[in-house]
Amino acid sequence: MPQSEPQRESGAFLDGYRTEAGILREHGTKKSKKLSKEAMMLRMKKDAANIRRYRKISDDVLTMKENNVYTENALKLTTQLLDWNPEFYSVWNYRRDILTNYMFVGLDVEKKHKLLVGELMFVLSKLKSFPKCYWIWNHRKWCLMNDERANWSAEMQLVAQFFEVDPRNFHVWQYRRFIVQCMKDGMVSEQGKDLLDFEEFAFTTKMINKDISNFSAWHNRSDLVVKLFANSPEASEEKEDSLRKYLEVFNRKSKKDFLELELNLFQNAIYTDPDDSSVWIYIRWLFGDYFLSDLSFKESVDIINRTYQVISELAQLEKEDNHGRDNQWCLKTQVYLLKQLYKVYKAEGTNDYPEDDARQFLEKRNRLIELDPMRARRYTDFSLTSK
Amino acid sequence: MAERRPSGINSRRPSVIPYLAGIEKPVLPSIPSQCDVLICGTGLVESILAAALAWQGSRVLHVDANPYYGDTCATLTIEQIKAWCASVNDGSSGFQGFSKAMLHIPYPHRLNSRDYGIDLSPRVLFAKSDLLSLLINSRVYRYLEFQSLSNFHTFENDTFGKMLSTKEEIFTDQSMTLASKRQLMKMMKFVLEYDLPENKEELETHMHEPFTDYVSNRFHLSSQQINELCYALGLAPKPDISTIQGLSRVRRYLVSFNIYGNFPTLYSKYGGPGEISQGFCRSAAVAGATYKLDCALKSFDPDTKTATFEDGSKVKISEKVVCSPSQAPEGSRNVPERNYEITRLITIVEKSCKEWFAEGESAALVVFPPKSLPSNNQFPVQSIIMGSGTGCCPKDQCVWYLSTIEQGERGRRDLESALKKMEESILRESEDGGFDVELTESDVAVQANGGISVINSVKLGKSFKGFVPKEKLTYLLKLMFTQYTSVAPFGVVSNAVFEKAEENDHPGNGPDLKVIYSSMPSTEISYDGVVTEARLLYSKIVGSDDDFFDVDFEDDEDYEHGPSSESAIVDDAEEFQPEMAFEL
Repeated sequence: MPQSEPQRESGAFLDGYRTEAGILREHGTKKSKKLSKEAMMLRMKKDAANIRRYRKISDDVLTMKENNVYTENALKLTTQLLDWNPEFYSVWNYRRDILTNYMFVGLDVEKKHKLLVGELMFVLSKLKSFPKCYWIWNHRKWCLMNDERANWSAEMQLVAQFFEVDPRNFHVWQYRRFIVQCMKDGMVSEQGKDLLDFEEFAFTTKMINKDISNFSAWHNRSDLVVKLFANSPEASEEKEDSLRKYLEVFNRKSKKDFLELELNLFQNAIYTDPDDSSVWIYIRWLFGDYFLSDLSFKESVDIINRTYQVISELAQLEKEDNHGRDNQWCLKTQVYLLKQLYKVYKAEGTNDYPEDDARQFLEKRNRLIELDPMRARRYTDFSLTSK
Repeated sequence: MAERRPSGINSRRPSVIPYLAGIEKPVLPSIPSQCDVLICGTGLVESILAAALAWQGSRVLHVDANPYYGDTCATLTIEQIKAWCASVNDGSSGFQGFSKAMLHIPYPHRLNSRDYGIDLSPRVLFAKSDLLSLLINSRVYRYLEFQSLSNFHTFENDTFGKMLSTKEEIFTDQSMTLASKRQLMKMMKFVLEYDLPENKEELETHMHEPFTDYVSNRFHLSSQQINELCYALGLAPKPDISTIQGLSRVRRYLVSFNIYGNFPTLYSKYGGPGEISQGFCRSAAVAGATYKLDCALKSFDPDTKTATFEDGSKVKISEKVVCSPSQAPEGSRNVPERNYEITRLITIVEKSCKEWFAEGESAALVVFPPKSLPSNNQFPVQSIIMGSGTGCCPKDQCVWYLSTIEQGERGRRDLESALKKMEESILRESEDGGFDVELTESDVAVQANGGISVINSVKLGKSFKGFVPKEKLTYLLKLMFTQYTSVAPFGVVSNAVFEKAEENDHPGNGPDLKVIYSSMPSTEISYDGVVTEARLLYSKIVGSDDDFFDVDFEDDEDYEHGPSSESAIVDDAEEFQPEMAFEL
């Protein structure tokens, strides 16, 4: 632990524990602390001078913005103002105008890079305290887009640091996708680009293993799966067994085999935490048209029925354990699967959709209406034939 | 802060609490003639109390009969341990509450006294606990260093197991069936939610039945999982705990996860309760408390409200006298009953024991559930393992603290039995190569009769029961003693203990009339209960605990997050740069 004072984060006193690197963790924490009336008055009094100063600077900056003033002093004032209030997006816009119209003028690539590195430092210092502020992330992207010498691997390390603190921060996930895209744009070899996508896919597995409730990770996974079915690197590159299986599936472009692999993963996940919404939403995606349209009739019927069976078994256990209460996620997914199955039959042009399944569909749907009266109409409108 | 090393205060200088010169050996011309509260004994409870009272505005005189801080939970050097044992066995005043100390130091020349910090009552700190909050609120944490402890091992069938207790571990485990994954997760979830209204009925029905029966019937856990849950995660000191007790203990573990990282507990470096006691003493001194070591109470006269010390000095006390039973004046008659025993075995071994620690850590817990030892132990044996990284012993050595609430000879036998198992286990696990070693010709013994090759069994399995170690474990120190306490195992300190002082108001009844006694360290292996006791004593003196440590430190930490000047931007960036270790 660095022995520097003051130690701001409550976690910092722990020897050897500095993964936070001063980044504020916001997930699951309330945005503002409720102050008592007295404490509020005290703070207002304490802050009165600061508030006056803030208003003054804010007025000055906005006036300058209106008059298109692009000077070093103006830049300095935006720094001060944003330091105070990084949510002030007009000021970020103005700052970019100053940079483009004044600061960048006459700079060669090297000098511009140096200037932008300073800018990135400022952005970082703000991100550490406001890791979920759109405008700051946006400004960071802009800086990198304007820097021909942008260091993408350093940005990836930064992302890793932010994930240490909050692996569910979707801003960071989005930023990561942006960095990966920029890295890909800079690559010549197609194989390299595909490899990067696959590495990202492997990364989502790692993050899901850490926390199956990380919806951003599941989402990114679905994003990458589509890319990898379009283009994937050669399987010979991958040494790790489970990952190689996935890679081979992408190489063969076999969506059926992919579903088989995922069946294993999500079965494990829903048994570990049957109430976690992210897994169930991912399962919905797995049995959507993107996959089913590429499977043969027989394959579709088979995998849907098997998945339905897996979920039914879990539903039964859940019911037994919860004093006869149904797990709604199981019900919802069962209803969804039965409807997808109906679609598959329809596409095949047969009218052999099993009567039992139709009966099950109605039974489960009606149970949902009963359990979730708030959404009763939605479920009523949901039938095998509805869109 | 122990005697053996210079105070770390220079490098960790607090910004609020000013630097204090010479608190370890305060130079006081004399004891003040008057104070509000006199506290005898600088154990953890007494030290927290002293700090709380001092910050509340009371004039506190805090003394200790010993020449060092910590009293019943001191962190001692080898020389201090020797002297301590002698005093305990002599029955010297100032050492009540301990008995039958047995010390064995086979190689005295190999122990450099000041290289060690041995805790008389070691404890681990849960990341979510009242003491940790207090350490932060009171800023006492700034005097200390903390390290993480994540490995809770359970001894079962001659091997050490570690329970899967996080969602990540359960999800990624390859050996468990889906059904048992689900049950285990259900259990964990219920532990966190048992007090929600929808679980009220369930809880009320089963609250008083044995915890082990409940989890076995309700969640179909295996007996090994139940043991791990009850004795490792729950750290239960006895077998017959109720469902409500078990649930709250396991919850303590679960909610402590991910507060500061992927571990449930912490400990303070260089010594446990002894270090923390001193931290609170230091805080008390900042708030104006007066300290004097080597100062034993001789008597207290409630009529004249005068306390007399062994050196003859006297002090007038306007409020109360609080005393640790260990420091009761000679001839005292009002010390509360201490009906509960803890048997402790402390050893220093010549092994790093790194095999037991999680990566990057230097400490672990090992728990032996009831009936898991050859001695057929009725109560669990709990042990804290402190490696050299804890700052308590030199490199390649390790301190093992074993304890049980089993009484008398049985207790001692159980501890010896557990020690033996630990010895076997560490020798087995640290055997060169272990599993991965390649077999050489000498490992394959050819039997004389039939010529069937027998492969060296040691190399085939770590848990092989017939293991015969090639080497013996060297013990550098072995200390066994019994400690007594008024706190029932699993119980919280009872207010009745303190009430005793009030009941006894017949005049001429001993030198300790109206003295309030604390309870001696509990059998609990965590710090839980310590703050509760200090709070109870505080209310006893002040009337209520509403303003217990209600201190408004001027530089509110929250406020530091507020607007910063321009220069702060530069500072921030500089601070971040070396940590990121990459070029932008």
